[in-house]
Amino acid sequence: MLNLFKFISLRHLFLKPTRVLLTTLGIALGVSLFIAIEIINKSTLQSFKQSVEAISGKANLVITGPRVGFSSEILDKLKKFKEIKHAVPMVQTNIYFTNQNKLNENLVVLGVDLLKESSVRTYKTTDEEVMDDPLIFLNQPDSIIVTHEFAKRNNLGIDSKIEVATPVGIKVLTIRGLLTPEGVAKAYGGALAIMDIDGANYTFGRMGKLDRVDLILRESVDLESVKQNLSAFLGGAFEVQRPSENSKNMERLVHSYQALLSFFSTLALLVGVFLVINTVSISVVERRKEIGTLRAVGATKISIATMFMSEAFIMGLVGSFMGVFWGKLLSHQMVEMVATSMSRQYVTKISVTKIYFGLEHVLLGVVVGTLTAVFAALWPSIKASFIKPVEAMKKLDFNQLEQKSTLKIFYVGLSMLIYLVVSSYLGLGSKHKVLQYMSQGCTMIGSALVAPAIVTYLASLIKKTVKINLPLLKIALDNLIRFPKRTASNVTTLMVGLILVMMVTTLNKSFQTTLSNWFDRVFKADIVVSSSGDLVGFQTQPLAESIGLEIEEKVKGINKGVTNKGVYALRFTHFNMQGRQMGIKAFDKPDPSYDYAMLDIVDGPARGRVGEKLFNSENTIVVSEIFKAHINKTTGDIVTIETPTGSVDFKILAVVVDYASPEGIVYMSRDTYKKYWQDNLVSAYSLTVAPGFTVNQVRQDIDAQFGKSKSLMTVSQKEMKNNLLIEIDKSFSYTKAIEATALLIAFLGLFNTFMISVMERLRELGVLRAIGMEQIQLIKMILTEAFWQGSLGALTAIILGFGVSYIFIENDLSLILGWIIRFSFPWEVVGYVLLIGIFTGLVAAYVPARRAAQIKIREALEYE
Amino acid sequence: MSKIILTLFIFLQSIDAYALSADEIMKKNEEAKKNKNITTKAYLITGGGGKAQREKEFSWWRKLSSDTVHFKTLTRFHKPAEVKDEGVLFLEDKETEILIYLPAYKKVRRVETAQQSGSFMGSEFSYADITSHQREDYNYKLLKEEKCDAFDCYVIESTPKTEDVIEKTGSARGVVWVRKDNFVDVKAEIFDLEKKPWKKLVAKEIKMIDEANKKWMAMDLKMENLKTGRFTNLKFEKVDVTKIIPDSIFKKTSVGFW
Amino acid sequence: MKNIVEVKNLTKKYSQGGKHEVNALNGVSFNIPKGQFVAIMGPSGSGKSTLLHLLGGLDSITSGEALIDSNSLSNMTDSELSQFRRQKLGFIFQFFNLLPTMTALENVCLPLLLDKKSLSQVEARAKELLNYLNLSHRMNHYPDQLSGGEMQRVAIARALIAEPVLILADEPTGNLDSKTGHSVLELLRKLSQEKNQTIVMVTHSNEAASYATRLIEMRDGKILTETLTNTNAELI
Repeated sequence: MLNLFKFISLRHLFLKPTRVLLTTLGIALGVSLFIAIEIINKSTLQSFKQSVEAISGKANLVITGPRVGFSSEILDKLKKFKEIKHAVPMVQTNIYFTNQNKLNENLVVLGVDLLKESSVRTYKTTDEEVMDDPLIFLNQPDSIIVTHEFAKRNNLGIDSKIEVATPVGIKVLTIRGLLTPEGVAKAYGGALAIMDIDGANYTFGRMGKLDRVDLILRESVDLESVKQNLSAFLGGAFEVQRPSENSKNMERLVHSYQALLSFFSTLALLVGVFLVINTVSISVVERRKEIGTLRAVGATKISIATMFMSEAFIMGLVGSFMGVFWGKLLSHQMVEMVATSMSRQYVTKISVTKIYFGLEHVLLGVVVGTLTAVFAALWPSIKASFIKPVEAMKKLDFNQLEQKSTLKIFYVGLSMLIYLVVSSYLGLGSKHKVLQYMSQGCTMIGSALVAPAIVTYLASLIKKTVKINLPLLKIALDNLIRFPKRTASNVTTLMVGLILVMMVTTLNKSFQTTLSNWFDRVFKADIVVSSSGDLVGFQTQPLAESIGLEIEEKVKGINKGVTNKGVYALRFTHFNMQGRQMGIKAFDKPDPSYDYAMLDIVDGPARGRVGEKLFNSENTIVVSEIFKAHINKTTGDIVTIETPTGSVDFKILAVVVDYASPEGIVYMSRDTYKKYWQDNLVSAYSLTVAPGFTVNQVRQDIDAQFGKSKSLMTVSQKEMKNNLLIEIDKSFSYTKAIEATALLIAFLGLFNTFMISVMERLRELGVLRAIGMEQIQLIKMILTEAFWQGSLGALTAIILGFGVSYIFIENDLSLILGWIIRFSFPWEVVGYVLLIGIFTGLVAAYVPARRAAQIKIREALEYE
Repeated sequence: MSKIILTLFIFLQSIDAYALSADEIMKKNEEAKKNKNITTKAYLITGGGGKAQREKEFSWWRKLSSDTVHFKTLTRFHKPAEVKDEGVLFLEDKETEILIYLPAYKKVRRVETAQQSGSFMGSEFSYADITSHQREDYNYKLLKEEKCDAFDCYVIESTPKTEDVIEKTGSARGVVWVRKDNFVDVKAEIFDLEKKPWKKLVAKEIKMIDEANKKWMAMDLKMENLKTGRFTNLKFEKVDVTKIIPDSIFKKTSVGFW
Repeated sequence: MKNIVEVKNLTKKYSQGGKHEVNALNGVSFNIPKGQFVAIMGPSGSGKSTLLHLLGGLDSITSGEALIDSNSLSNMTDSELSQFRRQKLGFIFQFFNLLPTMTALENVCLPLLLDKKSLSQVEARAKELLNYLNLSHRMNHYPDQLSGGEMQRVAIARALIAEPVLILADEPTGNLDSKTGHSVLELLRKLSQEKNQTIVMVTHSNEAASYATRLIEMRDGKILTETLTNTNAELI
């Protein structure tokens, strides 16, 4: 077998450089995307872990509590624990900074006790000391330390002033120290600033509150038991964790997002599988005589099969290495896109500072790519081994291919698709990764196998129903119908790429439509007022309650309802439950005329009743679908939530749809919230415009009166929705890379299959030429066939894409992402996909068509 | 004859008795500066090494604890406005406690022990420099005798006895010039953990502040950081040793109650 | 005298396009002694090619028996047949069937290479054969650099490398001009006479058949006549 490889396989690879190159390229593309996604996934997690480590430093345990902050009295309580050597407090908030070029930056501000910090964290500054002049620094609440890069970027330095929004108005901060990007400053991708803990609390109106306490324990103390004791002592509202557990939580959170990414990249790889199948098939067909000879002269079946598989192995190996290399390049391009969309989804700044590319990626890429190629080559190689030695006796005979009925193939494909449907409805894909790959495999392979039959059926349908006058079109269509097997390979390759395009666009559309509809249902306000910042991620500073009253008082044109209240407050924050960050939306009791529109109920009594109870009864809440899925409680159940003031039992009135958090959301009245969370701050105000006024008028009025002085911003309903949709689109931007890759691979494969089609029809074409067909007519005929194949292939892709996407979105997606998205078909994309199909077909067929036209008639006719 | 020899012998002994050991010199040095009560006005000037010069004015109270070894020190800042009414309290003991009062929040904050080798309030003095050296923490060795600024001095090397002390002070070696006449140190060279030159302290305007008990104090202390080129100047004026400082002002709870 | 080939009631049926059955071979029986050069002739569809395929184990027997050097082909698995073909048989095809990626020398070695021998082990004998066939100077050339006659001679060398008990030739001169064809046939006769090589040749040329010592004529899947073409014929 080595001999066969040495003397035949290897040399064949050199004989057909173009084809080998195309195939290798195809594998490289598939692997590159796969690896790029793997690299990005790993880098994201590593960056986050680094952030966590940078912040937690040498801490053994970290205490976190309610998002709104907890009392610093905890430090006194912790003194009881002799095992604790140091208890270092910290507060955390965001600031939104607009520089002179109107560019916005979001900074995480950590308020720390710089007199205590060295036991936990390291700061490296451009100076020797973090604080330029501690006596001045510590006594000035407006002191802030920023990173060297930030200062440079914005033309700032020591003693420069920056303006930020706080719940108690705009404050001016003074830079009194610069950090180099080491130690803590590595966290959050460098978008970090440090303030003295008291300074931060004073500035942001949070005196006496903490967000985090880092603990350094004494040596030879049992970490676990301390952790348990502390947890028990502090109660459920607090979490005591090892720093590493924090990053584990993040891993779990982004896991589903990353799973989706991997899902698509694997599909792209599958497209590559088809390319390899094509190439090896062509090779087999071309070398029929050679194979027959080898068999006649005594080669075994296995050695023939191995010969072809080893050729695929070489192409796979080379392609994989190329793919890994490209994958790394691609990851650099895509990482920003992916990190941004993840940040938006998870309301935490995720910034990938470094691409983590290691040996394991090279290994993974090579193994995956090579295995894919060899696996793909399996079927054609085995087919090759069954070529009878008798074939050696014949000259060139492509026409007598085994006429295995397309029907058998169709049934195999159909059964695969049926499996897909069943497994989807049973949720098998989510149970194990292997099952998921099986589902994906069935999707692609099943579709590929049923496609030829569908195309033939469509072609016959067209022939019966549509009157075609152009003879060329008619002949081409007839050819298609008469030789379904021939059409099959062309169509399959094209269709597989197009199905992927369909799936991705359908996913995007479904997200957009679902969220858009939901938004329309629940969002009835005209204007939203909040602190300047990134509202979509709720990264803005909260506002004081007084601001709502001020706006009510001073701004004209606000619609006041029956209760004479026009400005409604919303508080959006988080709390911890079962290791998840659940969201709270605390609403002011809305005007009855809105009929509690914000409640998009899927399980529970009528909206009116629910709304009444939610805002008038004690301890009532409404939860989101995802909350229900994660916590396993539904309408009528009691849920215990740990609040800063103690454990409280809440009754669930209904389950609603809400996409604001992938972990779960709880709605309650703001009165309830204020009572238990002791927090009067407001995340945003909403209002509607009174008749006779326009949205713009009211906005301008608010901007004029409060824009500068309180650093408020207004957003219209239209803008909010638009932003939301743009965010979704951005989240899908990386899929463009997947689509492009799939189409490219499909194109390469199509080129190959058209070549083989032409070769198979050599005699037939020779005869046509012999009886008088002109070269140009031959080209036209082949191109027309390509037109039909392209359009019908695209149509099939659309039909199958519809079905496959429907199943995926209705079933698997919610299991992967935790979001319940409703299927929405992108009809507008249909035309686009059709055009791509036709275009790809024509372009791929052009060169083979010309080749066909140039065959020597005599050669083509030379048959026994 | 024997009487002459005896007298000579006794005389020689007494001369010998005047050759002091390093430990004894340092003991005398400690004594020379040990005032029971010091109330004074002071200035802290920082600059050099590219930084703008800054001057702070503060009041300084220092009292010897009942154990006669450790001191209690309180400072209250007056100028500039940013630091007005800030206070720093030093309670020396086995573990020295350092507390800072910040008028901006009306809060008292502790400085962690680990930070104590760091600079005192942005100056070139470390907390360890400001608080008194405990003699038993060091090994002293008389290196030589030489003149320093027209005064005859003993040159004494001090090395910390334990790792703890090194960590706390950030210094592994020190050399001090002690005046032979009044046992006040007029110059010191401080070396870092690797025994490389780090800081230099020069004491000027050494005055006798307590006639009765023969106590001295340097009115001008300048600490220079040889590595960065920055300096800190500590100047005292209107030193009063007669006023008995009440213990109550050194209570943690009274810091800030000016 | 040993029989290299023993055929008894050999039948081959196959279905064309799944529709109707074709009797390609209808109960053929004959024996071939060692060293005999047999030509099989017949019109298109007579079953001559089918007979050759069966003798070479290239196709399966429907019923009857075929023994090559006392080995029964009908009981062999595909693997065993493959081994048999490379060790005991030699093939000469009409269209030469040389592997395009291998040199003349390598092509000659092919059957033994397939038998897991290395080139160095086989080279010497291959060179010898090429020498015998006056092709030493073309040893390292590729098929597309060789003339038709040269290619066929390489094929013959390939057929001989394993010292086969039987050589099967399918229209060996069908693609050659008459002069070259004659030299090839002469070569075959020489092999049969000097080296006692048993040869079965399928042809539709009388002229080619005249080089053989025995002629079997076939029609409609059966043997029509048998004649000895050589006056010094050795009868069975």
